Amino acid sequence: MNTLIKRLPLLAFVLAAVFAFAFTKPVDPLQPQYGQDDMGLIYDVTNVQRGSGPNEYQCDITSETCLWADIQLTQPLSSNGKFVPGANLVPIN
Amino acid sequence: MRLLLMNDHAFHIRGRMIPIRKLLIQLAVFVLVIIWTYSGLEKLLDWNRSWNAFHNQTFPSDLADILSYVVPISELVLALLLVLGNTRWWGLMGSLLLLTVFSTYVGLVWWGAFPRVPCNCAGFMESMGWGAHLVMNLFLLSMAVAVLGIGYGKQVES
Repeated sequence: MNTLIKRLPLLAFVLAAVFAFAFTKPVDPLQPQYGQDDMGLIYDVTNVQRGSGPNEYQCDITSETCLWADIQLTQPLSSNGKFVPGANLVPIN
Repeated sequence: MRLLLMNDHAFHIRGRMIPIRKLLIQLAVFVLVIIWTYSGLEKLLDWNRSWNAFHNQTFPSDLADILSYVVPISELVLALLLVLGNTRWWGLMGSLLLLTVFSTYVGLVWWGAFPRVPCNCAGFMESMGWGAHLVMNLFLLSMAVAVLGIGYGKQVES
């Protein structure tokens, strides 16, 4: 029992590492990503970085969907976010 | 398993005394190691999502570039320091420091100190709001303080 208690931190490290590798699903960098701003304009942000710059976009917390996997906006990619495009981003519609 | 509480300071299990203090310290370290290891590895394994999450925060992009590397590496270093008996005290102090920084930032966001509130749309915290995130951070911070406070000195219990 003393040995088990002494080994608890190592056990925690191994368990956490296993869960991290098992449950982390990396985002596909080629996955199309679309966002819709307050005006209803749709932006293709597939290769656009997030940030505060004019060529970037942000997701602010709300109950809306920030990013979509399709241009028809039927498949949400992330929840709880409002899409906010940078000033230089151009909508596709 | 028969469990008898003896003299308020130890459990008695199968004829062996397990000091409560030692058990509480190990359990607290167990929780901190799990949190740091999972969080650090998750950020490194899903690099694109982590990078975007840092750049979606309220601090400048240049700082986000640096933090994208520093935060997950720091978390994993802290986890290793906590696992090794000889460096566990440093791991606890480092956890205290990092959790204070995190709690301060999360608290400021939650309080509305910044012009915008970024979404929590990344990582295993994705389903947590900023309020819940703050409560969790404060709980972990309290745990680290309690472990250091109940006398986990530099002398290592190996």
